[in-house]
Amino acid sequence: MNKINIARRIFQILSLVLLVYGGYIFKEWKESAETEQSIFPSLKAPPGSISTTKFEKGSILWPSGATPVIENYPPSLVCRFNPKGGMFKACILHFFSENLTWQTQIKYLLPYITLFILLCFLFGRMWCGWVCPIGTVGDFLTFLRRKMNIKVRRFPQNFRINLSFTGYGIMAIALTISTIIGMPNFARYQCYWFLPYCQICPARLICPMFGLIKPNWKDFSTGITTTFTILAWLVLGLFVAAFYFGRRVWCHMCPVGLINSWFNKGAGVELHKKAIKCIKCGYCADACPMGLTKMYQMNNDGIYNQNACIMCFRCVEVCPRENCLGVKFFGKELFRRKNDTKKVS
Amino acid sequence: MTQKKFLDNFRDEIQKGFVSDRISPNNIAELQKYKRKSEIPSMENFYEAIENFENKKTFELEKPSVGYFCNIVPEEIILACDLHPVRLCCEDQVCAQAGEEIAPGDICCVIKSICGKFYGRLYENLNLVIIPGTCDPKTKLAELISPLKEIYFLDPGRDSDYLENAAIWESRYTELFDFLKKRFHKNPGRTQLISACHKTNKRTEIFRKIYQLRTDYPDSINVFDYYIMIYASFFMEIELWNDFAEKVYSQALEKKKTQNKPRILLVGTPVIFPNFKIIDVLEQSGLAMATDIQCTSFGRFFNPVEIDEDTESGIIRALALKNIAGSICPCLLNLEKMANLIIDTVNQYNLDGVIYYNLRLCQVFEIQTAILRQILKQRNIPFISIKTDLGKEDTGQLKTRLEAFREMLESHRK
Amino acid sequence: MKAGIDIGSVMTKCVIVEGNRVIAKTISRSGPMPEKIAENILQQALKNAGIEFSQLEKIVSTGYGRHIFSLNHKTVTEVSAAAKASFYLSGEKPCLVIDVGGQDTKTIEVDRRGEVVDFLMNDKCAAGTGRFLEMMATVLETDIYGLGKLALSATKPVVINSTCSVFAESEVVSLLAHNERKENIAAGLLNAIAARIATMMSHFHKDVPVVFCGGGANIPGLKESIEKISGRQIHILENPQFVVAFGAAIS
Repeated sequence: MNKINIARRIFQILSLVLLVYGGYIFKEWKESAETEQSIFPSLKAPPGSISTTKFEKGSILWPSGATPVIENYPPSLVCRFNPKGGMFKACILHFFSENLTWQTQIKYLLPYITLFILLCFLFGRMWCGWVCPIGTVGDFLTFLRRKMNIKVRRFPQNFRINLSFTGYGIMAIALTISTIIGMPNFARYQCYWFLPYCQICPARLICPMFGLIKPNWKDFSTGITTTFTILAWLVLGLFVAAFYFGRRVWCHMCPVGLINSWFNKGAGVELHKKAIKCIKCGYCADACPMGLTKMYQMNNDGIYNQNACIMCFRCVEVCPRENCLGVKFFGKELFRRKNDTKKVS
Repeated sequence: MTQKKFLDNFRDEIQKGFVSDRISPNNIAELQKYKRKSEIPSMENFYEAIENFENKKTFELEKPSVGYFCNIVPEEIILACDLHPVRLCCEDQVCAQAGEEIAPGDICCVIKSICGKFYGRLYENLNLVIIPGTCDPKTKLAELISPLKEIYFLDPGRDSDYLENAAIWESRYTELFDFLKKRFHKNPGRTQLISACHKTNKRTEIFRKIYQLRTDYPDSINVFDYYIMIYASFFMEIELWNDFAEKVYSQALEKKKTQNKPRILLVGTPVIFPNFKIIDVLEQSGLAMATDIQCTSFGRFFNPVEIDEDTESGIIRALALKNIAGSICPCLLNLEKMANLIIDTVNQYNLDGVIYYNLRLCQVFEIQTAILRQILKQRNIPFISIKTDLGKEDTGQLKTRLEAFREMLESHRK
Repeated sequence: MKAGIDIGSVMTKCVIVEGNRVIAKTISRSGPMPEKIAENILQQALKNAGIEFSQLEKIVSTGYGRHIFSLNHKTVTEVSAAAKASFYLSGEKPCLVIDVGGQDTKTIEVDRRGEVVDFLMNDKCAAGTGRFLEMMATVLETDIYGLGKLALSATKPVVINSTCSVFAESEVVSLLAHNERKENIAAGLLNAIAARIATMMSHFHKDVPVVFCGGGANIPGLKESIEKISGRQIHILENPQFVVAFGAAIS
C-alpha cells in the first residue's frame, strides 16, 4: 500500500466518522453554542408547505428524527438520513430540491451557494474521493470484492459517459418535480413528492444503518411511497453492484458528483503531466477507479483535470517514472512522483 | 491456448538430420579478464555463479526450470508456479557458428546462438521453453527448436497501446498461467503471485539504486561488472541475486569518485556476456557508459509491478502492463516512447551523448536509426549509431568512431 | 614546427608545418610494417624541409594506425583532423566535409567554431570506399585514376545497384561480357559511390558549403558525380590527400 492511498483511506474514514456520527459527537457542543449568530440565514419552509421537520420520526425522510449540528451543504454526499442528524444538513441536491419547492428567494440562498462554489473551486471533486461517506462505503465493498478474489469489471468509455447522462436525467427529473410541487396548484402533492431524489438515493437506506436506526425500508402505505421504496431498493442494488463489481462506476451517475464535476476544470487542485517522461505503460489508466484514460493518452504537457476525476491521485502514485505526474495546488507543487522504489500492496 | 507442438510429425527427420555434437563454448578466459578489472570484492559472487553456469552448461536444480526469452514473458508467473525461470538470450560466437547449420548466416545472431545451443544439446535439462512472438525470428525460432524441446508460444501482438490490448494481454497471460499450473501440477494462487511480484520489485528497488549511482558516478561499478550482474540475473535464483546485488551496491557506494570522461547513454540491442565488444571499445575510447536503455537491463528491471487490483486477474493484468505496455522493445509500436525516453534520460542526468548500438541484422532497431538521429540532432544531443556483429575484426574501426565521438563531445564541453 | 602523420590503410602521409604553413609533405604506400614506413616518411619529410628531428615541437599521428606509431606526442582521430584542416582551409566557416579514404568514407559536419557537430561513417565493409573503386579498377584493367578518366568520356552510364565489392565485381564482369563499354561501367561505378555519399550528406544541414578531401578527391569525375546526384556545389580542397595529415599537424 502506498502513502497517498493510505492517507486517503484514513481521511475517508475520519470524514465518515465526522460526517455521519457528527450528531453524536457535537450535539452537546452545538446546544450550548446555539445562541451565536450564524452568517447563514436559516432556511425555513414557508407556511403551508412541507418541511422535513413536519415528518414524524421514523418516516421516509426523517428516520432519525434529529436535526444536524450545522445547517449547511458541503459538496459531498452528507445526508439528511444520518443518525442523530449528522454533522451537516444534507447534500447540495437536497438543497436545490428543497428550495425549489419552497420557492425561497435567491438572496437567502446566495451564502450557501457561495460556500459551495468556494469549496468546489478549491478542491474540485476531491470531495468525492476523499470525503463522501457513501463513496467510502462503496470503496469498502470494492475492498471486499478484492479480498474475495473476484475479477473487476471494466466498463468501456462510452458506457461511462452514458452513465453520466443518466445521472443528469435523474437530476433533471428530480429538480423538475421539486419545482412543480412548489407551485400553489400542485402543493397538495408535496407530502408525497417532496425531495424526490432523496427518496430513491442509496443513502436513504444506508445512512440510518450507521446509527443502528431502522431505515424506512418497507414503506408500502400508498402507491407513491411503494414506488419510491421499490425504486430505492433497486438503486441500492445498483449501487452495491456498481461498487462491488466495478470500482467507482456509481460515481459517474451520482448527481452530487455531477454537480461537483462542473468545477473540476479550473479547480485549485490540479493534476498535471510531463509528457516527455511518459512511457505509456498504462499504469495510471489501469489504476484509475473512475476508469479515466486521458492521463495515459495525452502526449502534451498540461493540466488534466477531467470532469469525472475524483482526485484520488492513484495515477500519480502508481506512475513508475520520476516527475511524470504531479499534483499542484494553485500552481504550487504539492507532490510529484518520486523515483523511489516501492513495495507492492 | 494450449501448448502447441510444431513439426510434431517430422520430429524424427529433423533429429536425424541435425546430429549436432555437443558444442562447448568456452568463455571462462574472457570472464577472468573482466574479473581482474573488477574493483568490488563482492562481485566475486556473480563471477563465480557465471563460471559455474558456464562450466556445467546445464541447470541442476531441485525445481523444474523453464527457459524463456524477452521481457514479454512474465517471469513472475513462472516464479509463482514455483519454477526456476532461465532467460536464454545469448550472444555467443561459437554457438552462433554452430547455429548456422539450422538458421541461415544472415539472421540475427541471437537466434543463431540459441539454435546452436539447442542443437548442441546444451539445454537438455530445461523442462519447457516459452517463446514470445515479439519479432519474426523469434516466432520462427519456436518452430525451429520445437523438435527438441517442449515449446509454449506466447503472442503479445505488435501494438503496445494499453487501451486496446490490455484485455488481450491479460487473457494471454492467464492462459500461460493456467498452462503452467496444469503442466507442472502446481496450484499457485494470489498469494504466490504477490510474493513473486515482491521478489521482482525488490530486484527493481536494488537495480534503481545501482542505476542512480552509476548515472552519477559511472566508475563506481564498472561497466563490465554491471553487465555481468545483469547476465547473472538470467539464471540465478532471484533472492540470491538480490542479496548479492545489495552487497555490491553497498560496497560500490564507498567507491564514489568523480571522473572527467564524457558520460554517455547506451541505447539499443542488449549487451550480453560474452559479447562485450562494444563496452570494451567504449572503455578503451575513454567514454564512460553512465546509463543504458536496453531490454535486458533497463527495460527488464526499471519498472516495478504496480498491483492496484490485488485479485488474481488484477495481478496478471499488472504484469502485462509492466512487461508489454511499458516495454521498450522496438518490435512493438513505441518509437515515440523511445525518443522521449532517450531525450529525457539525457536531460535528466545531464549526459554528454547517445550511442545507438545496433547488433547487425536486428532490423527493428536498425529501421528507426535515421529518425532517432534527426530527432536528437534537432535537440542538440550528440548521437552516433554503431552497427556491428559478434566478430572482433572491426574493433579498430569502432574505436576510431568512438574516439572521434569522444573528441567531438570533449570539444562540445569547452 | 610540428609534424602530422596520417597512417591510413592504403597510404601513409606526413606533413610538416611551420605555424600553419606547410613546409614539407611526403607520401608512401602503407604496408605490412606501418611503424617502419611511418618513420621512414617522417625522416624523408624532415629531409625535404631541411630540419632536424629535434626541431619538431610536436608529432601528432592520426589514421587507422595512429596507436601503432610510438614517436608521437598525441593521437587524434581522422574525423577530428579532417574537420580541423577543412575548417582552416575553407576560411574558418562552417562546412560539410566529405572524406573518401581507402577504408572509410566519412561525412563530417563542422560548425562555425570549427567543432565537429555530427559525423557519419560507412559500415565495417568496404562498400562505398576508395578500396571498392580500386578493386573495380582492377577488374577494368586500369588503376583508380584511370577509372575516373574512363568515366569522364562515358556516353550512357550503366546503373550498378550494389556497392558491395563482391557483388559489384560479378556485376561488372557480366556487363563486360555483354560488351558494355568500359567508360559507361566506370561512370556507373562512380555513380554508385556518389549515390552512397549523397545519402550520407542528406543527413546533415543543407545550407553549408561542401568540401571534399581524402585520396578519393583525386579521382577525376567523382566530384562531378556527387554534385550531380546531391545537387550541391562541392569544393575540392588543395592537396586533398594530405588534408588529414595537415589537420593532425595543426591540432
